[in-house]
Amino acid sequence: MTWLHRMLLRLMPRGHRARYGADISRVFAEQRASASFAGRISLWVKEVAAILIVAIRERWPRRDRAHGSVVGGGWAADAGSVLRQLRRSPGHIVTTILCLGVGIAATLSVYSLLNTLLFGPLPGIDDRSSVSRVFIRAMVSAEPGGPGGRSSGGPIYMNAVRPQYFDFLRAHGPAIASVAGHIDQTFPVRVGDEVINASGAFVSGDYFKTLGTQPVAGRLLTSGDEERQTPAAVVGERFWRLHLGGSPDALGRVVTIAGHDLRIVGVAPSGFPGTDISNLSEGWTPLELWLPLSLARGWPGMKDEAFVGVAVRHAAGATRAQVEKDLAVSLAQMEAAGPYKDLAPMATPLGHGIQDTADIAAGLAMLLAGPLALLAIGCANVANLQLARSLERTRELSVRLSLGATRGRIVRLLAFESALIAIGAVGAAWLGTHVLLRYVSGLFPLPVQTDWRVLGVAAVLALVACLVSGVAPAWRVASRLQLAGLKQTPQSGARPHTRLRHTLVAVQVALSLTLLVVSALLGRTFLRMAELIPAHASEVLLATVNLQQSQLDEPASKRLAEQLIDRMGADPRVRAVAVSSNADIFAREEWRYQNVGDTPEVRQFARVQRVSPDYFNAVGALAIAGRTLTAADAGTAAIVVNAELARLLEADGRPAVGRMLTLKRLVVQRGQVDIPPVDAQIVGVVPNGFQRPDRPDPDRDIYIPLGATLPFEFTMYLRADDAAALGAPLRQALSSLEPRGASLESTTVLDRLRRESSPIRYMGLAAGGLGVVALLLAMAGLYAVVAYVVSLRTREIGVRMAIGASRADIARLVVRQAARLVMVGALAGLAITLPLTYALRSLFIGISPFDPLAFIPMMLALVVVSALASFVPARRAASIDPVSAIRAD
Amino acid sequence: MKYRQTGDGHPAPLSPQVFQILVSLVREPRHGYAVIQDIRERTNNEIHLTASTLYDALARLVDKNWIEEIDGPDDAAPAGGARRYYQLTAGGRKAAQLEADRLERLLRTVRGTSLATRKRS
Repeated sequence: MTWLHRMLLRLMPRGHRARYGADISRVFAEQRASASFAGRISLWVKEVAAILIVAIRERWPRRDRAHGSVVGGGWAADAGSVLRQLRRSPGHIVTTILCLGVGIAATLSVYSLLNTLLFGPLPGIDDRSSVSRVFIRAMVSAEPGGPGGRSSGGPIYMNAVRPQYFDFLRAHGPAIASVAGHIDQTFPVRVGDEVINASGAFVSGDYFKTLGTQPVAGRLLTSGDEERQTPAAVVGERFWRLHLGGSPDALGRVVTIAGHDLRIVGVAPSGFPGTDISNLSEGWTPLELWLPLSLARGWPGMKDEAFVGVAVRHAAGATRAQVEKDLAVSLAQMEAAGPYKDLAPMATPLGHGIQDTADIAAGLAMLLAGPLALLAIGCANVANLQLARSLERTRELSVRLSLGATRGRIVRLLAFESALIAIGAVGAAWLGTHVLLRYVSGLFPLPVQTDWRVLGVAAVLALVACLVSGVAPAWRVASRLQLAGLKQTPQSGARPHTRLRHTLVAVQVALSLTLLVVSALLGRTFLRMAELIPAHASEVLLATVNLQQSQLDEPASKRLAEQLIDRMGADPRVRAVAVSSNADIFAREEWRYQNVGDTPEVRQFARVQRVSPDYFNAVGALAIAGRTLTAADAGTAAIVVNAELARLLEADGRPAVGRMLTLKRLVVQRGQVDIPPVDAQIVGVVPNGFQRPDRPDPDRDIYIPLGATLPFEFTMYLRADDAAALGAPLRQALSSLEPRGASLESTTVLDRLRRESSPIRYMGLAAGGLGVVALLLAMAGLYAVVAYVVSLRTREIGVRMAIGASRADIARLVVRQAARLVMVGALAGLAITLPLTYALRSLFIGISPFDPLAFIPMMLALVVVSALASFVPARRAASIDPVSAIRAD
Repeated sequence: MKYRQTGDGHPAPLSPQVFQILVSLVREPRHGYAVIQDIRERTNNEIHLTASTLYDALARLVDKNWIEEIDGPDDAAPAGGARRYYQLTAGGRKAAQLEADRLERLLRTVRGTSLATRKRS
């Protein structure tokens, strides 16, 4: 360690070092040798500070050395004085820096993450800011019981247009440089013996040009590919690496996708998200395949109503408003040609979505406000600590004043000190953020950069908090001291800033309560979501089979499904196996239903899936009225409804079972004839099925028997104790039954449902973390204030004890004062929190924004923590010796 | 409180560290480490100088001509070269005396008030 000391000595001016360096080293070594371990540490701290002070003083000499350092001098003298001061109270410094640092670090991290997500560079996209996603707002008139239960009119937002209208948008005005269109699609691609489901899109010729994408190898699709209908394909970097060996030879290779031979012409950069940055999020497969838009028409299984998502690149210098003006011209043509009315374009930056959707706004607001609240608590805490300290330092200040220092000079000194603390806090925060972001970057799809603007703003806030709270009280103390002289001490004077300090504590308590309650509500939401997942969800394997590659027709698809059911049913582990017509557990066809004989005005909407007989066993749904479907029902008009639909139907007093409904399919898929309305009889009611955990209101479901056909994409349900283990045998069975290639994605229902609830879990964890830190900060603030108040009231406490107050009385006195502060803070917190949670209610799914189970425990936690914070000073107060307390000046 | 004003002929009060260094050299010349040890013992650990603080103060005292460097006794030269010893000059002795008088006067102003018998808590 001698080398470290020698290095530090180099800070001293050369003359001093040459003359005394060796002596200093020797004496310091002797001192260390004779000290204990703790003594050595304190020796080091003192020595480093001493070297710094000497170095500063000697290198920047004072102009008037005659003055004592307490009276006046330049900035260097201030620095020395401040360093001495800070050395004397390391606890204060560390607390202040931590309080501020935590707030700044939280703000900086969250804002940096958001900034990266909303404005940062995206992989493969050149100049993100000049690309806009196009949304179209249309006004719809009120229709009773519209799809999704929407019954009131108002704006609806479209993120895509029908292919025939895309051509209107393509013919763009001068503010738009180019227009990109895409239809997202999953492509089953045969690679060797395996069929891989590759996410991708049909893209218009200008797609890559619009996004400014540069190929990793080969070339990207251009307008020529679309016009000539070249069977060309672009693959993603990951696909190229994993499945094509990452070699340039792969370019020019032909892959067969759903019967089309396509030549791979190029490779798109790694992580390229297209126009939708949610493609970057965890759990989503990256985009890997792009085909010319012209191939979309006539693609097997492609819906006629496939919509084209639109993005535009702004012409150089064009503003978003000009772009929207150009788009409006195209939309006017669309209105003339189609059934639309009152269309308005919205050009939004990539990744921003439509901003008036309430839940995005609420989530964003919470993300933005949470760290700011923490920063505010930190600032309030620092202000409190500084105020308490300025009063402790009254005597020191009075000495300085008496020795002739001016008020301005004292203010300068304190300003310097406050600034140093603020700088320390900003440095600590920067370091903390750096570490945090480094840890988070593994979980985050984009490289996160620290946002310097946010650091600047947070630093200014911290500086202002430190300066105002450090200097303003000193100014007042100084004014009073100039009149009163040395005798003024904290105890004898009035209690300055008591109200201000109490307000600050109340604010801290209020903000902590708010953060705690919001995090508790999010936690309860998550628990509620977990409750919605039934126990047997882990016993059900959910497998989506896609036969697009094999080009089977619907009857063939049905036959294959039956063979699969037979094959898997023979496995002794499988308790039940079934298929349903929907492509995913949450994907259903939207049908219209009404009681037979009702007028068309009272029609309602429900989701329909066609299921094989064993379906209800496989998903664990026993009939709660009537019966479930059997093999004998195939081809008949028997249907089963879920409890929610039965409840709605029974509103008229008649039982659901036995009544006749008229059903009409809404969405017509390619290759399906538009079927006329059918009348069907309800034979049974089953419990509400698996529900999206983020949608507490159950859907209205109708189950109809599987007919002679099945779509080429369908879902299998397998019930077994260890459902996850069935994925491999199912895959084997499928590939032996359909050697031409069928793709399969399987997961347990439990995992599928959990994936839906993970965002709210992360949000709850983040808010909970903020809440706990806020609580700790508020506790520190309360402790500081109560401890300080006790020191102010020493004499009063002594008098009270002298005239007979017991120790318990004194402790009660102190605790009561703290409790009063906490009560005021908690009430103010409630006043902030209630409207806030109401505003954020869309986040708390299935939980009341005023849920007492979130409010009461958090208020109790606050009370307990406050009791702890005031307990220590209260005990100290109770142990005051009345004699010495009264004698104290 | 006149004595605290500077620039009117009265010397500025000495810092406790400087005063203690002078006091410790009153009896005999000492080297640096011995000064630190002496001050520690006399002040009951209240003033514990570190090496840099000490030599900073010593340098300034030499500049003021309050103390002077002398060669130590021959038997006091350990490995690493001879130690520098310091002894008080007449000026230094006078400064220490003035400070002691000042402190004495200061204490006198307090006598008879409650402060003089105040217990440290």
